[in-house]
Amino acid sequence: MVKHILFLFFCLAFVAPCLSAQQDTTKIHSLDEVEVKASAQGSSFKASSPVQVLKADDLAKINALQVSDAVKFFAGAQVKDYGGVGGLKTVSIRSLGAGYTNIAYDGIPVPDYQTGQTDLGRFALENVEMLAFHIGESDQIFQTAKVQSLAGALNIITQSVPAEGEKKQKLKASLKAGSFGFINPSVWYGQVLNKTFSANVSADYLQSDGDYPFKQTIGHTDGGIDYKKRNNSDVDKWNVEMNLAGNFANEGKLLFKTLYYDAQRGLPGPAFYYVDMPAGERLNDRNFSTQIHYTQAAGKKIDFQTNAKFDFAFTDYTNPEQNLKSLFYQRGFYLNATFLYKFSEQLSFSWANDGDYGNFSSNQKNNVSPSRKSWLSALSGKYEIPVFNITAKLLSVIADDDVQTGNTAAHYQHLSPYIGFSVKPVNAFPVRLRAFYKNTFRMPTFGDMYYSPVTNVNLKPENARQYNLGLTLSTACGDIFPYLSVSGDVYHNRVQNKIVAVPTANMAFWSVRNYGKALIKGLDLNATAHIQTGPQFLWRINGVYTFQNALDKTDPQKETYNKRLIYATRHSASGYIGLQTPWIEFNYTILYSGKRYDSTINIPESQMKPFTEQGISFVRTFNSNQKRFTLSAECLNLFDVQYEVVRSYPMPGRSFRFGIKFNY
Amino acid sequence: MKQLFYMMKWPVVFAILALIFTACEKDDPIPENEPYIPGSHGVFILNEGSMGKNNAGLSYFNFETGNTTTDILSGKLGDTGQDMLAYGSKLYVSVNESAYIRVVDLYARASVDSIALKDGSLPLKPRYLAAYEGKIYATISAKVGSVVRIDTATLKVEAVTKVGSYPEGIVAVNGKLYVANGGQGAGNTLSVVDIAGFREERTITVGINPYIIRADKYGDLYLTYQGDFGEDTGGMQRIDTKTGSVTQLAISANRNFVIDDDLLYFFGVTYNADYSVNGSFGVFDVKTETLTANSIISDGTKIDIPYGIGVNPQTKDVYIADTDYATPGTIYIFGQDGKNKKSIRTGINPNTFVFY
Repeated sequence: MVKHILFLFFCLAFVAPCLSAQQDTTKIHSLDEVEVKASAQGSSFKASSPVQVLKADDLAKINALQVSDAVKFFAGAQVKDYGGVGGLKTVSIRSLGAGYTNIAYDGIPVPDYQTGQTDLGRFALENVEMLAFHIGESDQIFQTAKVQSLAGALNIITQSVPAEGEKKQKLKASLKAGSFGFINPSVWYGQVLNKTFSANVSADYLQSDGDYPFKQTIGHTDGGIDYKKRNNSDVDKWNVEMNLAGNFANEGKLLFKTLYYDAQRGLPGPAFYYVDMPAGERLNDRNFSTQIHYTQAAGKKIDFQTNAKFDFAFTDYTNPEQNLKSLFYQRGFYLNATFLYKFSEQLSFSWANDGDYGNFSSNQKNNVSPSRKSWLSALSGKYEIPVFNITAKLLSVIADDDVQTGNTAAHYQHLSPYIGFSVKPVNAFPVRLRAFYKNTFRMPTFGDMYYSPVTNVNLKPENARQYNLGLTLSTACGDIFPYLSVSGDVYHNRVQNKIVAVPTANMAFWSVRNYGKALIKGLDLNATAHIQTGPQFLWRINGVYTFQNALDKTDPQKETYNKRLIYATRHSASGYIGLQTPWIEFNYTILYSGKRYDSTINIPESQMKPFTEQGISFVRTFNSNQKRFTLSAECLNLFDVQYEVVRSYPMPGRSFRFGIKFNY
Repeated sequence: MKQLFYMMKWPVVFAILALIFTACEKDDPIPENEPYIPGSHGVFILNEGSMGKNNAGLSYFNFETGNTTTDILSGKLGDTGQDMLAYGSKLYVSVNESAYIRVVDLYARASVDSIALKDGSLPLKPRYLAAYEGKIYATISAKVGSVVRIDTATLKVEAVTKVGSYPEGIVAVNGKLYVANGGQGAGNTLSVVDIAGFREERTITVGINPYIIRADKYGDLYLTYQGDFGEDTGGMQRIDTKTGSVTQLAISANRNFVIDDDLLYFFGVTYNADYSVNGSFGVFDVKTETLTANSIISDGTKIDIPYGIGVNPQTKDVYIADTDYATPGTIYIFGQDGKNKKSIRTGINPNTFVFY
């Protein structure tokens, strides 16, 4: 408890002096608008549920290479990281599990019917304009139904094509190289085609040998340290993307997007004591995706948007030792239509309808080629005045499964409500109170139902309830603090019918059942400040802290009852500091993760020690005419701290990256 | 200078904060091991651990003090403790994923050596162990399975010979090794290896997925096979080493067992429709070749998932290991009356007992 109080004092210490000062409210609002891209998710200060944003500028400051690196700086996000550039990385919102996070690429969720999880390592950041991390729900009601269907969403928003009035051509090229055979060239080109259309194309290639050294501490006491190298952790991936944007005379807006992604990587597996495993398992992922978004105002009162997506994913897993070759194919078809009705300036309603069809097949013996048809329909209302806003939604999900062989009668139907509000109790005082409730219905994945060792087609969906109460503050304080924002939220999540693997008589045969219950209580704190210490010295500081108590509530008879969920921290924190000077930009990052347990029983032998990882970078920018040339040097894990996020998957120690970037 | 101060100020604040968090969250102390008491007796219990977590261990239950040390090796055993046997003054422990054999002094109860198993740079993953005339034999889990021979004087690997795919249990009788070729569930043979020539000389067809094999003192082998985890739930077979004939036994054994003098103590498991587990236990007399007891437990003690069995050769108490695969296991000790005398807690997945 002591540390929460300390942290609160820390926050208050620099917030309090500002509160006494007279506020210029117009200044705050203008900052809000600058802070968040207009088309994006609305103001984080006024939002009824927490939203955190990192823009391209910020991303460059936190030594982030992949989306997963950036997400670690959001409060309430837990990144499960198997280590190295190629290791699987997923994000969980407030310990609910990665299956509760929608990963949306330009507003449309990326489907994964097999695991319900998306590897965040697959998204390169060079192409990203903004990351918006929503816990609960976005206040934006003019969106698809699917993006609202889980406990939160990470929306990856890519660079917009050149807009009207901008330069006709834009070119960005960059090259990064670093430790462990890392090389990453990327190029982006955008062009205004005519009055209506503009387009961009981009390509990104990344290669890493991933053979980083690590130190393995043997045993609990005096076992010594083994100095080893990670084997079979290489990655070789590339992606290409094409976007076409249209701004029609009738104010219709079009965004058409097509991408292809290919990743070849080794799966190093756990680092077993005393042994160096040779190269073995490999994974090849390929993904083709095309999506289209169209928005049109139909009169003054009604806006309409439609979205469509086709996604094809292919996975090839090989294990030469066991002579195994597994192929998986996934196809997703998605269509949406959303209407927005603006009753008045303050009151609006929306109705979103999404149809989603996915099928999956493999060359496995147990392949049943499952498919799922889902119909999602969301009815939303929003009322907004400057000092108060309220958003209410009701999402209906109907889904039916079908299999090509065998039986399934899987049919799901559920209504999930959301309600959230934000109120500014005193108009002169830049503090808002917010609260939300959301019910989420997470459907079992194809992996849970049809591809687990012991299949269970009778699985029910998981049911999660989120409650959140928070305060937000956004202000400026004289010339020294041009921007200051603080938020604190307490939350309470309940999960029922949790889908868990229950052991049978053979360790390889787990049966998947609706067995678990979990209760997660916590506190998220988030502070951002810009400090001007001289006419040309600007500091940007961000710190987040999460306290949580994520407990198993399944069976009071079991020893695991009331114990912490696997890998759940009680304390975690992260932050970054950027200093902009006329000559150079200096950035510092820190990640802290408290004690965790690698088992559900929380015995001392299963504890994993807290770790702090820090990094620095220097960036020098040269401007001439309309050209910009940037040189960067980064040192990751500055103090060479050896840690694991997942037991026996060591993370890299100190490493370096150098980059050059050219913008025209 | 002032510039520098500004540069350093915030990192310092964050570092201090990190220190505060770190300091407030203390490590959970690992319970201290019982000091070594010379001349005491007890039982070593091998904890397999959870694959990928490097948490195999060796528990020791001291009969004199009644104390259990969860891991006399303090977490250093490695990944997946598969099997162990006592031979001479040493305890040999096969550690599968870590690909080595740990040698522990039985008397001092301390590690004395490690034997890395390798074929060139390729690690060889040991499964089960057998001892014969000064040598230790270990089955090696691989698509093309093999058996390695280790000399107990030099503690070096002397020779390797090929057997079937993914071999499991192994036993040495009258100059031959009998190896159960599990084949990852697909095998149905025993390899017979001539020890002198160290070559497979023939195979014997047995049940699907042969698993543990042990010998009685009358020249018969007893083998459990696990079946296909579907229709065929596995069982136990007796193999006459003189004739090579295979006899199916009508008992519920399909997992592990031990033979103490003339009695074979076994357990078996079957699944219910919801994949919960039914354990069954019994005692088979290898001299009269009859089932003498179709139960070991008389007081209604519930074993969730039986994972290992042992018999104290002095007291004839039966030790049954219960697991849930994820949390520390429990050993239930039953007297000859079938009543639970004592329960002890070990590491994760206790599977083998050695009484010393």
